[in-house]
Amino acid sequence: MKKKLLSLFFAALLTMAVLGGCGTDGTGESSGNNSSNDLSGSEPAYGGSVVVGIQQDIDSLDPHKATSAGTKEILFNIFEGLVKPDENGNLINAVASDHTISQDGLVYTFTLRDNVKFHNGSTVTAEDVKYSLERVSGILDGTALISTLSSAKGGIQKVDILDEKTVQVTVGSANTELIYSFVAAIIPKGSGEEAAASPVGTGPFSYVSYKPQEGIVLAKNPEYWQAGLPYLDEVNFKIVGSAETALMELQGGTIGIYAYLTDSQAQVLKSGGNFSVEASPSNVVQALFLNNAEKPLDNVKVRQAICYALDKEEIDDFVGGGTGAYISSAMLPTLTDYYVDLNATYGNKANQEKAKELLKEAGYPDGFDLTITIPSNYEFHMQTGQVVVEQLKAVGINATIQAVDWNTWYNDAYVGRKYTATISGITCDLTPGYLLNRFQAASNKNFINYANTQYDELYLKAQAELDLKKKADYYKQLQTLLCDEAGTAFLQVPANMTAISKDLAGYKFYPVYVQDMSTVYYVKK
Amino acid sequence: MKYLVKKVITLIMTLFLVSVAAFLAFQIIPGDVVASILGMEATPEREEQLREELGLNDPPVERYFNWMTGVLRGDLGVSYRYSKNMNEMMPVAELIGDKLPVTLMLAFVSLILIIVISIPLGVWWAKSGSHVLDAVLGVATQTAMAVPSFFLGILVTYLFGIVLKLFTPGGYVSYREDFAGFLGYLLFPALSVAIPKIAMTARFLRNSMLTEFGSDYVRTAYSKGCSRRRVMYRHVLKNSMMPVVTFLGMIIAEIVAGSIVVEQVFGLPGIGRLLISSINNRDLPVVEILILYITFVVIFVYFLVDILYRVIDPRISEV
Repeated sequence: MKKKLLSLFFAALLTMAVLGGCGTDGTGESSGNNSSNDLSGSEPAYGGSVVVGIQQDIDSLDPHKATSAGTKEILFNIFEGLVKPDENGNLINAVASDHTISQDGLVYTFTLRDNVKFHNGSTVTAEDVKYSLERVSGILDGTALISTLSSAKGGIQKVDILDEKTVQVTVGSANTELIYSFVAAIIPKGSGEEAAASPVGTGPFSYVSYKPQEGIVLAKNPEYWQAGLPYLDEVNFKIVGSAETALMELQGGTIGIYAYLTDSQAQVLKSGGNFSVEASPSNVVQALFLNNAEKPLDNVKVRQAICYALDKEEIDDFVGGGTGAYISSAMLPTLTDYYVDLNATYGNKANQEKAKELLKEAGYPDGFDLTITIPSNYEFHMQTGQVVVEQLKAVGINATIQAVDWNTWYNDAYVGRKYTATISGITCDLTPGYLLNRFQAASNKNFINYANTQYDELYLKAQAELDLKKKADYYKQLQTLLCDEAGTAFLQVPANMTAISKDLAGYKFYPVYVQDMSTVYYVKK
Repeated sequence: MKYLVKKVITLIMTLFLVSVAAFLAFQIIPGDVVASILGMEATPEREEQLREELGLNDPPVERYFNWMTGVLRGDLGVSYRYSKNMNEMMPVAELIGDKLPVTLMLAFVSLILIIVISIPLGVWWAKSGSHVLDAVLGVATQTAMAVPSFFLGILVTYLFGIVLKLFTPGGYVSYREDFAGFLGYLLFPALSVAIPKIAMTARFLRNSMLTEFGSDYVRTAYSKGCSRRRVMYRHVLKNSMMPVVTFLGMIIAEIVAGSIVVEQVFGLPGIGRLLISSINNRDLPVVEILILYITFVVIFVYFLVDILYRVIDPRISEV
């Protein structure tokens, strides 16, 4: 492992040295507010095809069964729900042209947009919507495919067709965040069986072909309801062998867009001149997760000491070139209405005095041994681990890294909760309470074993609250509680570093994993 | 005949043991294919559903025997991870059948490069007797041997792909679409596999020849009035080839291993890349067949080397 890391390092160093003449400044300017890479004055040309590099293979082409983030970001181009997210994290109407929610939060009424066509040529009807919603909620065959909409868990209870253009959905319990689940894809009535083999949706691109380990090809949907979109005739999502080959393929010109650059790769490409490299906030929360059920981390003072010992600035400078956003609790800063900045609690810089003092109070004046388990396929987390180990050593905690493959990590650490500390990332969707949900004591995703009845009660209150302002208040209290108790040592929301060929423009950055190809175009020369 | 029967029995036993070992290894290592397919956001219900669909809930021994009887009947099973058209799972035979030619061609082109370059190089080196050349080639081959093919792959990509623009990195063309283009692209990964082996073989041949030069029969041949040229090629080279053939046989096994790494670097959709991703994905049926295949190739090549010995040196078969 060490050998491999070393050779990777040298490889990166070498390419950097040769290409950049070692003259890169290493600051990696952030463009957080810039949500698309429009070149001023560039004129869009229609046509052409683009190869987009992706990292993972597809898990399913059935939009209701697809689970991994890497698959969903592609299916976004093929399928649409009644509503869909835009680049600012808001929901916009898609297959529906309008929707209203009743006062008590139990009845949703959707008006369908005129003339939205499936890729097979037929027009979307209320029947198709009813079928799709009944399929995901389990009304159709008893198996719910999207758990938030599950009829058994207070999701969709019944779907009524009021007229040709109006569908009324009744849900079991009021939840202001349920609307985010209506991004669930609308598919033709009765097509569930073949959905995985021949996916048919209403999105800007239609499915052409898929090859295991190679990728997936999409073609323009000429009948797309948003006039003028998409620009491209064809999009080819190509699975790249590894992060290193991705760089080679970018430089060689085989791929035009790649969204997963490491900081060193970004520096190399910036000096090359053929690509614009943009940083945008991701939807991943990176943390040194602490298992609250393991000794000595069951002691709140020990956990606080770790939070004080960590230097978020140093970590971000080292692994992200300063492009990340520091966080101290479980909320994305991009969800501005709900986020509360708690970075002052432990500070962005290390406070070693305070950390040592707390360790002494907790009964560990000489520190202790700590094993940090890290999934080794994530170069980013591995590098973070190296910095964290040094920072913990400075306060007397003797930390060591245990690198495991992803599957082992998932099975033993994440699901089995057999670990002491781990560095990893958890992804968030647009639902504001999504990340806070998992820290309830009973949640099956609560892999840090955080147990606080006060937190649980507060979360239930937040859940039931229909007033958005009060709800936001509850969420802020939850974040504060989690931060003060040092449930886990939150680090940062890393930036996504995306390389886009300079021939292209119009790429939009979303606060969730989405590769929206509908607005991408070739610049007219 | 007896020899052949013995060899075949050993082959079958080895293959059986290897398949059991691989199966056991997969029972021990944590995690399963379901996690790889669904990722972190999976719900326990969906995981259970998929596990049932894939038949992962059957007892391990039963699964192994079902798989083995299938293989004996010529049915290699279906992949857990990859589906053919997302509705039925991809048969392993089809999955591998698509990628095997890539790896075989890579190994073949590498082997040709090794033979074509290393033998003349070795002979020339042995013949020259120049101290300067000795020093230069000594250092050069030592360096080439020391560089791992992974790193060499990156160097080759950089030099030939990005600086000289002789090929497009990642621009793999399928052998079905354009065979010449395919070979042209393959030349560079093959070079990365071949360079360390060329260095080894050339050194080996040179040393072997220098040893033979000191032999009595060489003196006899000279005194018989043979020309230096004739001594060189008819006597010395022929005798020096014995160890080199063994060595080339061993190298073939290493080429298979080397191509696994190099395929990653050059983005070749061969079985090496498939093997690595299948292990990471815990895709047991695919891993089993690939391991059996690699084992078979290695044993088979050794067997061929054995036969070749007998052809080069008839004394062996008499014993």
